[in-house]
Amino acid sequence: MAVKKEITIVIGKDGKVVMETHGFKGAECDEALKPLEKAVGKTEKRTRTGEYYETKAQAVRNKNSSSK
Amino acid sequence: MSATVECIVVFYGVSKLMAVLQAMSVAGAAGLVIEEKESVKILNENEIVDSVGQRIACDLVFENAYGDVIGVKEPPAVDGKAQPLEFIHVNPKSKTSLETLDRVRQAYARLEVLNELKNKGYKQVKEEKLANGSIRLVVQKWQ
Repeated sequence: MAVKKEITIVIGKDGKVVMETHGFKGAECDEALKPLEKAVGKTEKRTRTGEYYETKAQAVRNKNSSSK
Repeated sequence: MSATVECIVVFYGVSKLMAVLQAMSVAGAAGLVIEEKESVKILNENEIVDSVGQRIACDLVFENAYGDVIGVKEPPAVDGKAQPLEFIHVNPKSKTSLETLDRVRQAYARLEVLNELKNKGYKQVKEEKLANGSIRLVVQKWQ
C-alpha cells in the first residue's frame, strides 16, 4: 500500500532553512534530506525522533494494531 | 515527524547565484514573489569601489532597488574543493544592502530545494509566506 511521504521546509528571512520529514522511517529520512542539505549549503543541527528509529516492519505492525 | 535538519545557505558558484538574481530581477519569474523594493539588477561591472575607496575586482556585481551595490567574488578552490562566495557591500552599514542579501539567500534556498525535490518526484502542495517573513513549503509523494 502506498504511504504518504511529506517534507515541510521553512526558509527564514535570514536564509536559515529547517526541513522536517513526515512518514519516513529510519534511513529513509536521511536519504530524503541529504540531497536537500547539499543543495542548501551547510547543516548545523540534526534531530531524530522515535519514528526515525522505527523499522518498516514495526511501522506496519503498529499501524495494523491501531486499526483493530 | 521523524527527522529535522537545520541548515544555513552557503553559495557555491557564481552561475547558480546569477540564476537567482535573474529571477529576482523579473517579477514573478521562477514562481518568486518579488516586490518592487526587493528587486535586484545585475550590473555590467567587474569591480566595485568599497567604503574606503579601494577598488575590488569582482566576478559579479548587482544593485538593489535602493541603489546599494554588492560585489561577489568566487575564491579559488582549495585542494579541489569549491569555496563559498564572498559578498562585498559597498556600504557595509546599509541596512537595505544587508536585507537584500538575506532575500537573495531565501530565494536561492527556495529555488534549490524545489528543484531538488521536483527531480525526486515530489509534488508541491503548499507555499505560504509566514508573518515573520519566512517561506513555508510542503511537498509530498506517495510511495
